[in-house]
Amino acid sequence: MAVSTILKAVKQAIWVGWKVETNWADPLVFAIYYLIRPLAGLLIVGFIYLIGSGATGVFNPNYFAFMFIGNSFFIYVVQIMTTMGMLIHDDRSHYEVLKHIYLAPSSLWWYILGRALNGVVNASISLLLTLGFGVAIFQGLLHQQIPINWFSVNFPVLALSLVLGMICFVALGFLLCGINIMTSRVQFMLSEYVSGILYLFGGVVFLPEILPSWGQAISNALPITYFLRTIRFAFLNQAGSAFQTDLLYLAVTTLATILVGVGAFKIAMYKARKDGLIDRKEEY
Amino acid sequence: MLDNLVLNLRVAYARLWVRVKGGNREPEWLVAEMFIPVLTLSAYVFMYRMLHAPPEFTGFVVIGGTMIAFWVNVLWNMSAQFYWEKETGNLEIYLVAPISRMAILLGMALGGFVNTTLRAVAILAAGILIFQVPFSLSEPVTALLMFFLTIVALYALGMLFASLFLLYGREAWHTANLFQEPVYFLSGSYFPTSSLPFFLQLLASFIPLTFGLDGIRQVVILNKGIADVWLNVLVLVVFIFVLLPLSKVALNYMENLGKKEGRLTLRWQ
Amino acid sequence: MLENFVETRGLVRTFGKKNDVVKALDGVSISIREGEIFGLLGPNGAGKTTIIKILTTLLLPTSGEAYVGGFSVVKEANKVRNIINLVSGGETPGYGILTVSENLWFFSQLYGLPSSVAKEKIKRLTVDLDFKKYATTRMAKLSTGFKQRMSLARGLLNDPKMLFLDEPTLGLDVLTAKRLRTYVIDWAKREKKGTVLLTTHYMAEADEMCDRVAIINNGKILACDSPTALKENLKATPIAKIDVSSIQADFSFIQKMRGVVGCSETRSIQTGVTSLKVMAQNEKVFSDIMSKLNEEKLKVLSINETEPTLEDVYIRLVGKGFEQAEEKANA
Repeated sequence: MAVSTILKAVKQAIWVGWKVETNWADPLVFAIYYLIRPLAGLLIVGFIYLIGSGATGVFNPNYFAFMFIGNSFFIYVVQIMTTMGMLIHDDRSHYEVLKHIYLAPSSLWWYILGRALNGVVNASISLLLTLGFGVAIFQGLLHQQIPINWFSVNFPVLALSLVLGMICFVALGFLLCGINIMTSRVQFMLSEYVSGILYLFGGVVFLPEILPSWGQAISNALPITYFLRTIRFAFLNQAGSAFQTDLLYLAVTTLATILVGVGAFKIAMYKARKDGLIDRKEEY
Repeated sequence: MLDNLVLNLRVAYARLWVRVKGGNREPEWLVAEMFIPVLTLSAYVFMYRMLHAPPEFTGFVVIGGTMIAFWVNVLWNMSAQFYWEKETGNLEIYLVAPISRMAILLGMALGGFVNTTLRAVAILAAGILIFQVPFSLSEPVTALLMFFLTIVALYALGMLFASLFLLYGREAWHTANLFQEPVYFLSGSYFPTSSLPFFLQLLASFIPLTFGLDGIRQVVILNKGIADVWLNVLVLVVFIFVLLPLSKVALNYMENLGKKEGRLTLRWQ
Repeated sequence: MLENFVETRGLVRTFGKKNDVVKALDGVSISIREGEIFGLLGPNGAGKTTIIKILTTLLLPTSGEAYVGGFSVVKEANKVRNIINLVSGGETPGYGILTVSENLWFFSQLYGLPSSVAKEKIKRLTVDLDFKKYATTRMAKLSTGFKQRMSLARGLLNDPKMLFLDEPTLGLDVLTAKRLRTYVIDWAKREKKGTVLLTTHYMAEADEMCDRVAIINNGKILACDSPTALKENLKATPIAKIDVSSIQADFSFIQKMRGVVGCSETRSIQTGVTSLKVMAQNEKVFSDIMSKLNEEKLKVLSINETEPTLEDVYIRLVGKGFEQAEEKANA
């Protein structure tokens, strides 16, 4: 297939995703999904920190920064999982376009990738807004020190982590698409399950070391754990942090996720064609 | 008069039955609604543990996570419900039937309460079993009273929202989204609101859940009694007495407005 | 017994505000006798559904009066609701996750039926309407035809004295549509269970089912009588069906010819033929049309004189057929 055809399909899918999901034309609706909801999530963990620390009298700004970065960058997981988790249902049963996309020469793969990339764009907008308002509220209004020097962020590490992280989450999204193509029974909750498990075990708002040993084992197997570690390294410049090892683990776990995600999607597409699931409309 | 009452009670029961039957028919949903909240709740418990906060904070989170199930139900299965009913054509059928629309709302609320209680009990049990919540309860009747008033006030708020969104399409959906996490935050679902800045406490005081959560936590975790939570009781009673009649007025007003403007059964807005 | 079970007087309904007002109903006055099947026939957008919405208490009229069973739909809405039910085509109220029987039981409760009575009735209706085998199937799994059977069963659960059927056979296959029509005719005429107001834009449906038909266009009732009487009035007007071997040509010139009362056209992509139905003041007009078609180099395949149908009544009144009226409205 010509590269130009693929690029065109990806571009169109990003555009469709932007139109369908972003609601940018309505400022209030845009604000609800891109600022208010994620900011409320950040405020919850921020106040848990403030109130929990207040109860013990020990404030640890480094932990605040740890949690602040973790919770903010988790937006990528939420956004990509939501976009890709609902995509098959929306396009197959609601908009009824899945079969037409499947039939088009540019293939469903590239379309899904484009929609996922739109999720990445949306998450990035949301992240920047949440970080900006988060800093303004906690540092500006509540005088909570956030020990991050925003002018000395390690951009190469940040960029590398983001690229690997996005590839990994999109691959995970393909796994969700594959499952949803084969069964419609879990499509509305699958992304929430995945997000919930990654939030609990991925070292998002606390160190995985306080989890029971089986929880730590799960945490060690998840790419999100290494993704957030390398992201934090880029922002917090922690001396002595084993960032190269984390980056290596991130790369390895990402590769494993790609194999699982892409493999599952491929099998699902084969089975979908065999069992006539590509245009099966579900009603509720 | 009596016939009318019997008819509307039948309607409320039927709507409750539909909700309970439909809500528990798919085991996947049931499991998800019990399991997913436990994941979030657990993360916040671990946060407090990381901060070495006193054990009662674990109890605060478990109680908050449990009560949130009711808030989610009120938002999605009450406030936004008429939007779905309109899309499926059910609203039209309710409106041409000789019944009180409040009976439908009552049935939805009771059905939602039954379903959510099932889930909430599972969340609570999981929280208690996993995290060994230190309960300290000497006035169970006060605890039940607090819970009952909180639930009635919450569902009364849901009925008001449902009425207000009778004419609206996707706005109802967006508004439910708008209120979800911000209310988790403002009502202090995962921390006591007494530590919030004044202006946030002021905002939080418009949400019945804030007073309910605070009262329940005081009674169940901090071993306080009616003498300590009477203000919470009073505020919740005021909420109920304001919200219930207001929802009826709003429902009549919106229905009439819809009939005048011809928007009552207009879909895909 | 009320002579007129439904009566509207000068019903007006407008939508929109100030500079963008659309008049959906413009002084509609109709009377429906008890036990009759009354049809409202008109193209999409003529105002049929607006009348139904007002009569079923879903919409308030801008002005005018309307009564069902002697009760004002504005002032005594709840009394009206006690004696009516509504079935709309193209939609199936209910909960997809519940079975057909469960859904019907739920709807029966909106009319206060004791459960045992409701269950018995549901059983009978599912048998009568031929979908008993789907009684325990989830509604979401039903095909369009069976969903519509369920919808009709729902509409009959409370034994309404007045049944409103809004395009009840919309999108249904021929056999299911026929089955539902026969059932409604039996229900109203043979079993004498109630009065029916039917809206449709299918001529044959109105012809087959209705005792009387009101033809509505742009919110105005143009004629109201039995289908036979309406067609009888056209006896003096010659009607011809002309098949022309072109689906591209513009036939609007026929409408403008002297002596032409009205003309409708149906273009068939499958056959490549346009069927023109022309109503004229006298038969000589047809030869003029033939000459004109020849001049335009359009090949005439056949020309036949036909018996009047309800569509002809509409053409006589409006000057064009439903399709053209809908095309114009959509434009």
